[in-house]
Amino acid sequence: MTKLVCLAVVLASCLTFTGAAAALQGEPGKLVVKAGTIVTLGGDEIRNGAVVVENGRIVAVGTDVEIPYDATVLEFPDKVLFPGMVNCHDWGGLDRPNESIPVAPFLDVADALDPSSVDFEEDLRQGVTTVGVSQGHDCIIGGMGRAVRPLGLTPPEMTVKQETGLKISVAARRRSNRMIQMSQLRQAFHDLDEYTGQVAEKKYEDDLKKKDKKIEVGPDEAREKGKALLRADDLDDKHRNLYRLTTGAIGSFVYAEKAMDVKVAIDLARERGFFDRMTLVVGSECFKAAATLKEAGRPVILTELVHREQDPWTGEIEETFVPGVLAREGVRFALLPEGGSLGARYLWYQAARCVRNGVTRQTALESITLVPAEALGLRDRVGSIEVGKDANLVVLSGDPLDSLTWVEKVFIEGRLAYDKDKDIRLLELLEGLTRDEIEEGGEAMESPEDGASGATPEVDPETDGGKDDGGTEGDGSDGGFLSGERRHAG
Amino acid sequence: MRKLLWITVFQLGVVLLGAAPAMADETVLLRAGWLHTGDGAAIEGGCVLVRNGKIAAVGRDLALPEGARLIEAEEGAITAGLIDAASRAGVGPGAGEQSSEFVPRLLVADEVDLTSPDFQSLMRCGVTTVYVSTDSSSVVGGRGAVVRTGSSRGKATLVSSQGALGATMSADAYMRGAFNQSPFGAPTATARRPTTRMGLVWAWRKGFYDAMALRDGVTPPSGNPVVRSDEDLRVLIDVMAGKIPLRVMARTRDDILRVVRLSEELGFTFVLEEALEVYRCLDVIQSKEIPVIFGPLLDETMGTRLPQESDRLCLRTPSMLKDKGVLFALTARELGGESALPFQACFAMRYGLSFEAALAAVTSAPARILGIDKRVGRVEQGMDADLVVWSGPPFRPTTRAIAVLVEGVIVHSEAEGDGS
Repeated sequence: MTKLVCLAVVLASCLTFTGAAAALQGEPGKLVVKAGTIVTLGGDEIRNGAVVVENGRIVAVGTDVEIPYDATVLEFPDKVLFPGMVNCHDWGGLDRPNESIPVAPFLDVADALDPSSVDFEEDLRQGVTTVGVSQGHDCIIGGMGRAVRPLGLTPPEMTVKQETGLKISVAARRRSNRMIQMSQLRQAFHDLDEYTGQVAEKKYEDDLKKKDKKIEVGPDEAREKGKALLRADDLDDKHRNLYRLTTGAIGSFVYAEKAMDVKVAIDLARERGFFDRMTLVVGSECFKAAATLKEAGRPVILTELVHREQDPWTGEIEETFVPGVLAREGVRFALLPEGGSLGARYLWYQAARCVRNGVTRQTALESITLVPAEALGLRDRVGSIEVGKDANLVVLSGDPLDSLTWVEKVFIEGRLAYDKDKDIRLLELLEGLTRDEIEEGGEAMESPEDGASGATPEVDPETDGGKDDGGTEGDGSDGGFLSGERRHAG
Repeated sequence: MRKLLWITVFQLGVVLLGAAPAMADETVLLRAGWLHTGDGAAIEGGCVLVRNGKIAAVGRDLALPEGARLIEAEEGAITAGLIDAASRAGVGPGAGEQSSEFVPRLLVADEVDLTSPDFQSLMRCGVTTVYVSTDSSSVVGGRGAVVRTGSSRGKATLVSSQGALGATMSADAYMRGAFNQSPFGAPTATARRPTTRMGLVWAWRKGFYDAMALRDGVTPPSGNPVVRSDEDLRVLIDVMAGKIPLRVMARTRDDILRVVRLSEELGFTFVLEEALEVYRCLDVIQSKEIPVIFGPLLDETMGTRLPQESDRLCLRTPSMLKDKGVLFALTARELGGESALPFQACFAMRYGLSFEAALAAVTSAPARILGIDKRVGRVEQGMDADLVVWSGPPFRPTTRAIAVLVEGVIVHSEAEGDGS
């Protein structure tokens, strides 16, 4: 019976996603979204403006824009329109965050991506329209990341951008230490040199053979000459991505846990030629290396907002608000959700924390939109409401940084991807109802027996409160989950 | 000898110096964009005058007395200091007594570390008074303690060690592993009772019936005593006589109703703690007028604090309690940081509670439940000057406490470079 219920729930969630996926496949028409306030982040806030969308892209923004005669016009006069938020470093949608092979640049997160993960559902609920999926920190050289939209049934359907970057860690893996970490990291690049040298030498020889020439140079010179002929496709899976990293063809997310790791990461990137497309993923203590981060000029992803440190002499715990330090220094940073805490699991809340601690509103808002977009190499596509960008739009009930504000609708590339009125799981959580009860119109919330006081204590009948689960199996019509018509009037 | 004298003088100097920056008799005037007194009134441009540790005057346009210190927040607000009525601050995890499952004579005050950084961080986010509850791993634990989080000496102070008696009606009291260990030596199956919910309810009954026997001067029926001393039983006698309040931690609806039935059978009144599924039996709670200390609030999409106990959340529970007219307080229990009490109020508001009700749930309501509402919990002339000045509207994620006063002493102020 329980299994049956589980199956029903799974089926129901599939149905929800089918609905969303169907929307994804449909031909996007012309759309105009009007709102009382448009927080563009690309320029000034616009009062009573409109966003014109064609083929999933924004073609016009402003108060005085031409409305195409054949466009669907949606009006939200008392709402705030905000660009879709960008969660740029997350492994929530992966079945597990780390591979046990420490050097694995041949992996791709797409192969572990679970499109039906509740994490993606939760992303939509919180107004996140782009997720940078990456593997965890527990690696030396990890797999390839990917930017996805939290919408679709398969990884290809979800993909916004392939190959956002390789994961690298200069901090010690679990049950290891920094010396081992760095020696293995150096070894990996050394192996790459060796291997590419061999391939280059062979390539050079083959090249000469083709031209019927004889080899007149020594192996070292042959290697050097062959390197010019070398292409990524000549290399095996194990080395290809690492080679492309060193030629600047792909980006990287380099994890630096402590301040001491920051310089090491930057030096390694400079030495190995991947600095220009590197994003640093930093632990809270890295605020101590703020000047180094500033000098590097690369975007930084913050894994924790508050650094706590106990003074070894007095025992006092000192707290540092990391974004505050980085903002003062002028380092561009992107925020991530933090697990566990009540609000900190939400990107908008993380930005609100920044404002609470003295960071300017603009910087805080950019840290959940434009900067993470830059970290994913998607600054020209997402992160603000500007002409030419993807129409990722979030309709908010109020100010983006206020806890009383709700995400009401989410558009991804011009298609409606989330509607709060039809969010059954949210309704369940808010009202404490089961799906059956929602189907019945919320009547079964409180059993009639609860009202009866003075039950004889001696008997102590541990009956299940009279809630009748029996009669609901037959009428679980599919439409009810998606339609949201029978919303319980709380 | 002379050296000793010098040392004494030196020590005295240090003590005085330590107390100097925040003297209790300092006169302070607080002025902010809004003053929320806690009884429904919101005074624009409200002021609070603090003298001798008490609130001397409340109103608009109060003049700054000579020599008084001014704390001003034009965009901000003033409220009473927050009160957490079921905190676990100052006691580490697993601080429950393991030698017996029935220990009413114990005092949590003996376990509380007043120098713990817990109190510092609570104080900085606006919590001025906490009630430290018993650990939930005993069937009947000890009596809780009321603690003020700050003072002129810079540490927390004990207000009362004779708080309510804490009891548990949940799996915590019989779960093995992280919760209950057998007391000494090799673990045995019989070292620690109970091991099931049946045993749990039996332990409750046995304890209370033994106490009744002692009270009525009859020989208790034979059987395994769960209560070891008369001292313990006397606490239960006082509970049944209504002299000592009883706190019961219960999460699921069945457990809550189980306590209600026991309360009728054994003749006690109680305050419900944690109460995750209270929304499923609101009518009973309302008709029996049982006060509820709800929390901590959870808004995980999946799973709960203790999955074995309940998988049915209801985020609107605080506003449902309010609608039913139940006296309820919010608690963060052992949680701090972004889950601390002001943020519990923040998310209770997100899930439908009005600001006034949220404010009451973290100030006047817990004060009433703790029986200290004559002294704290509202901003009113003559009350203790436990006050918070907020940087903006209280209980919003962008707002922080910029000044906190405990009994008129400024224990936290951003002006002194204490901020962020």
